[in-house]
Amino acid sequence: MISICLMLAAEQPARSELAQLEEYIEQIGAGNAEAFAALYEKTKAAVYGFSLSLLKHSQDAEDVLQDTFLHIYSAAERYEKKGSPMPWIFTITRNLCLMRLRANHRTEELGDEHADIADPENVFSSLEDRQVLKAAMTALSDDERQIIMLHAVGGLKHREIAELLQIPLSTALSRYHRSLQKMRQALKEQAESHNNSGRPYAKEEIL
Amino acid sequence: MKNSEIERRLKEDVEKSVPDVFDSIEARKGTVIPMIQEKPRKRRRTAVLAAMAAALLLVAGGLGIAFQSFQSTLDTVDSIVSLDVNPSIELKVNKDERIIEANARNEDARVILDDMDLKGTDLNVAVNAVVGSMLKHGYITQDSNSILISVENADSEKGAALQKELTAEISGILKASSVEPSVLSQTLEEDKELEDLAETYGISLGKASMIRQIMEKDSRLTAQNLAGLTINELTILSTSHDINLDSISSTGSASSGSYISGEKAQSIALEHAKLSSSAVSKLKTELDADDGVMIYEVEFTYKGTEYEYDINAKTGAIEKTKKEIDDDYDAQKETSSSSASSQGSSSQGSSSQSSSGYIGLEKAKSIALQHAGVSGNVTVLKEKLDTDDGVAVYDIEFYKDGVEYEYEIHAKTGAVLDYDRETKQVSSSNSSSSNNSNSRIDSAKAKEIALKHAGVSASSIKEYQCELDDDDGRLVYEIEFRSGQMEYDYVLNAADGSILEHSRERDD
Repeated sequence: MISICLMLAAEQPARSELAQLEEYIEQIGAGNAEAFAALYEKTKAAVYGFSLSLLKHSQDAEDVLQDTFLHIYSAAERYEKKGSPMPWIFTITRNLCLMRLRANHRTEELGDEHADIADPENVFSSLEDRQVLKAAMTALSDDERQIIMLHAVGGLKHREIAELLQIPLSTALSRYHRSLQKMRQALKEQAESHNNSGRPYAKEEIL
Repeated sequence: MKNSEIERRLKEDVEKSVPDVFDSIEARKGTVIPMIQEKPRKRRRTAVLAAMAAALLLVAGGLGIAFQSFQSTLDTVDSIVSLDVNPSIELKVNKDERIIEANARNEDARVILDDMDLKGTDLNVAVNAVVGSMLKHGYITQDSNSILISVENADSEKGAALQKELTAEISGILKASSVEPSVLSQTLEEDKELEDLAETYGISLGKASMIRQIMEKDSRLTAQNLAGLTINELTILSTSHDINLDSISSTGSASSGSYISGEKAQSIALEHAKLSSSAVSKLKTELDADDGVMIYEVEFTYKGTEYEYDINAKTGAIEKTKKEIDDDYDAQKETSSSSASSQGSSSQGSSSQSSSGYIGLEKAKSIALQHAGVSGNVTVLKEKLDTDDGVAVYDIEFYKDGVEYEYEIHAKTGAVLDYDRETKQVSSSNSSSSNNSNSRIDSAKAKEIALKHAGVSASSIKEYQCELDDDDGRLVYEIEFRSGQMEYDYVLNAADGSILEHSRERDD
């Protein structure tokens, strides 16, 4: 099984915290409702952030957030302890997101009238006070956004990210550094544009 | 801003944005979310979409209404997609291409669907899961690489688009598993006759349509014999009969890797008859199907006797031997052909049909002869170990003094299960034809028996169907109906009304 790296970055959950999460999952498997609520509280942001990075749509991400926990609830029994449950949870989330993207993709191709509910832009309308998230949503490529979300919000280590996304560790690391650079640049531009126009986000700039 | 600061603030932003859905999750607990591992796929963002998106921002209020009308279409079947390999699976999907219902149309399909819950899944995901499971269970292999996709949609254009899309999708999955794909596809229209055919043989609409096309082109091939074949086998069979299935598009070619050649089958038959190819005439070999088994039918004539062999196309085993005295030679049957036939029958007796626990062909034959009250030199026309409704039986046919006898002997107990005698030449017959199947219960009686057995009343059933069918020489009533949530199937012996087979399953 995966051995846990003892060096933990400041943002990442401490070792005992991960063990705690595993314990929750074990208890959920045994039917403990409180453990389910606790796991939800501890991990909802990570799951939502990761969904958002893949789907770029708040409603879809919210649906996947629900589905992820429903799946955790029914699959907890079968969970095998590995030191950290986060890669397992993210695998679930990722699969659900990909299923949804496919569904949306097919809907678009067939010209379905509901294609527009998968609007990738609508998430931004509510982000005026969340500059960093906005920068992540607009300035980064899909791959970069996933990596930074998994690292910053999900607390995954780079090695775990590489494994989850099935990319070499070196690729995961270089994308991580590049995305932070891009974020810094985007935040700087946001600040300037805010100072100049008072309108932080003109529509044309997004598109 | 430092990197760690960016990360911290990103985390904060996400935490602020998370909607609280815990109550909804609690309410939906127990909902099974089907999942399969998937490769990522990039979304296409087109200018048109962006424009639509921008427009939507202005009418965000209308979204809820759109969602509601969307919800109401969720349970309406828009397309029926069937996937046939040998497992036959029928997927009913709604307008949004989500699975409303996934049905196993045969036993193999039940293995495939097993505990998969596809309800609510996206069609593509379901197709991936189903094809993946077929690969995993060995139904699709390099040597059996054919799959039939059938799409039924009221809108033929949409059906065709879906057909094309699924063909590409499935070809991709098979290629990724190192199987050179042979993908057949078709669109279907609503067709009562086709539904009946599918129901009768317990196959999907798609497979029924393929079989019907084959039968239209070659009337010797019957649904009874074809229904049990895999799509790969049906494809090979069509090719060998030069049947062009014009309404089915296909890519790639069906692999015949698991079958022996026609030449090989021919030599097996000749060797068994102890004849050489140069000594016989009218030698003919044809790929055929018998009750769902691929066979080579090898025929030849030697000294006025027609030989017919069924050779299992996969194993090379002799499934059936049959000899018939050519009508032209009838007058001389006791003289010229008797030696050939007795020689033939003794060699047949030593054929490799003996299985442990069975009484053996010779013993079965003597039981039949004794029962028929004949002795001395008889001409054996057919002797075959067969199964009838899952029971191993010996089918024995022989000819003596102008009468043809047909026997079905239980392979283990030696009991005479069925017999029939018929005078061969009606014109010169001195004994009248007697057929033991002329006493038969009527369909009303059959219905009564089935309903009584099922414990349901006539008023509670729906979709009742009853068909008198010939089951390898025996007349049977095939009855099916639904009652409540259950679907019942019965096969009754038409001669005495005994229940030969029955099943009851939840109709979902």
